[in-house]
Amino acid sequence: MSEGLDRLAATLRVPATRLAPLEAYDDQQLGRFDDLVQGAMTAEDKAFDASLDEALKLVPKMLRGVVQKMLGGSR
Amino acid sequence: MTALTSSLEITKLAHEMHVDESELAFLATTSPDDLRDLRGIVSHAMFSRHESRVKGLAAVSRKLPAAVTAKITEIAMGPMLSARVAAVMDPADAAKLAGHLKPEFLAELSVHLDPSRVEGIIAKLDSALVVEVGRRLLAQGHLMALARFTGVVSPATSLDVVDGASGAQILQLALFIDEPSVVDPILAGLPDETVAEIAAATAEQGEAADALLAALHEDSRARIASLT
Repeated sequence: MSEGLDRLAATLRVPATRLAPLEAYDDQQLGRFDDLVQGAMTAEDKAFDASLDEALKLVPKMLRGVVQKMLGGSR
Repeated sequence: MTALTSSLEITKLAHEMHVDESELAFLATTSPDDLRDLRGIVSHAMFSRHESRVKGLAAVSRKLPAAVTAKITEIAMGPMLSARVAAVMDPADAAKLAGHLKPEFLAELSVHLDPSRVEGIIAKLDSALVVEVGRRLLAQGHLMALARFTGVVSPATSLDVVDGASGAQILQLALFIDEPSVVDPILAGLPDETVAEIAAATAEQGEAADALLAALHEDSRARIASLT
């Protein structure tokens, strides 16, 4: 497996063997595809966080910490 | 289940990733089936992010009456976050919540729904609501999202959704449906006039339409040929 395929597999959180059909592509092509996947994920993260922030505004301030803890405590 | 063409699968993958198809043009030498598998992997990777937080939200929503959760969903969470939460809810709870949401909001939510969770939720929804949401998706041009629905509802429901749609719209929808055999009973229920429009539209879709026609039942092919 190439370095590009390993990087893409790590981004997609799958064993590199699941991406075997992409072995024919070079590291530059796989790197570009990985960049696109990461870009899509980052855009989703931003949209997700913005929606969550909006939802949390409806929670009274004194309870917000409790709710945030229920949501994993990462925000 | 065989994917139709690589170019069609690239269109679907690009849609999943919110990128322009030209960015993925280099994948054209990958087989349609391998591209479909790749789409599944990318889709799962995208939808499984934030899973713990989404499950937390689903747990909070279970403690509230569905009508209250529906208000919070529409006012504060928005369609994307709501779709993520719906995907981790028990399908029965998600369907109950859906019954309290406005169809226009449900249509927006549907665009963001995890494809692998569509079937379990749709199966529990009132068919009139499914038809209304489907018609909204059609009117708004969300044919890829509608194709996911079409693959899991009855032909009668699909026919209600596409009633009045153009042949070109129905052909595009058919091209986005992952399982071509789903298309046969829908075609069988369409009037000759619409099937003739579909036949005329195939000329503009080239290789993808040829692949779809080849994947259809011989009765469907014969009917399309007779109306061409």
